[in-house]
Amino acid sequence: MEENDDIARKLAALAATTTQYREDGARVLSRGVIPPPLQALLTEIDETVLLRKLVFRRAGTTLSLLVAGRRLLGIAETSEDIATAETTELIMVPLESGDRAQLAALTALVDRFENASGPLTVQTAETERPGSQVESGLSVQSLAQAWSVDLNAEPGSPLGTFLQICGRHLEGSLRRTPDGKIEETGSTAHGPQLKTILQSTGPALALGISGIRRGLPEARLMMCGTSADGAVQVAFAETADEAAVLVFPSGSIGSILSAWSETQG
Amino acid sequence: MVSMSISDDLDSLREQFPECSAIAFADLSARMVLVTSSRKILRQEALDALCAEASLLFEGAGGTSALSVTGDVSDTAVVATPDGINLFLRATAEPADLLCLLCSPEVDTAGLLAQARPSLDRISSGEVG
Repeated sequence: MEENDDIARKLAALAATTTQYREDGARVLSRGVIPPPLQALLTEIDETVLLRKLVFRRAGTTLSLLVAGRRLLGIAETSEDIATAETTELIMVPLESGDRAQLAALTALVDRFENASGPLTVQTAETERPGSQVESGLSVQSLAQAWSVDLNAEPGSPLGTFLQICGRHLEGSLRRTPDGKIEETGSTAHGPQLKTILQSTGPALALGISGIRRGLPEARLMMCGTSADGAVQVAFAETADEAAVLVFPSGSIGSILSAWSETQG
Repeated sequence: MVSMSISDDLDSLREQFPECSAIAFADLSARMVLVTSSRKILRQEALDALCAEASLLFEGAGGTSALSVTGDVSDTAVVATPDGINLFLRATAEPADLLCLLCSPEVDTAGLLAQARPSLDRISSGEVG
């Protein structure tokens, strides 16, 4: 009976996950910021027990790793934009702990992969083990240490992270935190109007939109207002427990929406 | 010279941005979608909802924007969620002419806006028809 409960709990947990897949079958691990791509990549290695080739992609950049027993065994291939002479020498070579030159080349390669932009996806394929050693490979813990990744780091709130990324594009913002505090950044020129949007007109508009579109997610970003000369745009963003108003130059709409997509998943 | 229809113009725009699944040209004053370009067939209810959403964003509070420090309404409106981004553009010369773009979150918004605005103005001015 207890065993059945356990299985039921696991099935419920699986059903509750909101894993996203692309049309090519790739699984989205990170929208780009949350969770941090390297943390997501290491978690994927840590969850791989059988021998597999994990093909990680960020836009056009590819890093294919050979993984088994929760350890990184080797590099299968990389896209040309992140390849160097040092990393080419590592292709299909068994990785071993204690080899500093190997680890340095691998770390430099992963740095370049991390600097690529866009969501991180993974595809899994069966493969063959590089070399013949049974005990080869690098543990996730040693990789996390070498790459300065905190595997247990709790992500900040999506809205807070969104505002952080928008930072340099913003002229000003107001944010209502989960505990009801109002945080103000940047210009205070339109403080009273922004407060009205945050507390009244923004939520009313969101309510109106959700009345039209059934199943509108709780996380939403809306913009439709501007300044008299059209130079400045205003956006209202809200999640289940936070809200914010952002003021930014009209030319930055694309950057604001990119930041939104990277942080809401 | 080959004349381009509104439909061709919208198809061409959508083909440049695979993350944009549908584009609709609408008359905001009549709240009616006139032409669509879409990967999948859009049901009438979905088209009506698009027009209602645009109307609320652009005309919501008696012609003033709910999201403006001065009450001025932008000619670009957006509703973004984790599932997708709806972009709404009003023509510069004829604010009732509206372009609705339904996109996945990965779309290059800046690139799409840069292409969509001239397309809307071409359609609105009667350059394509």
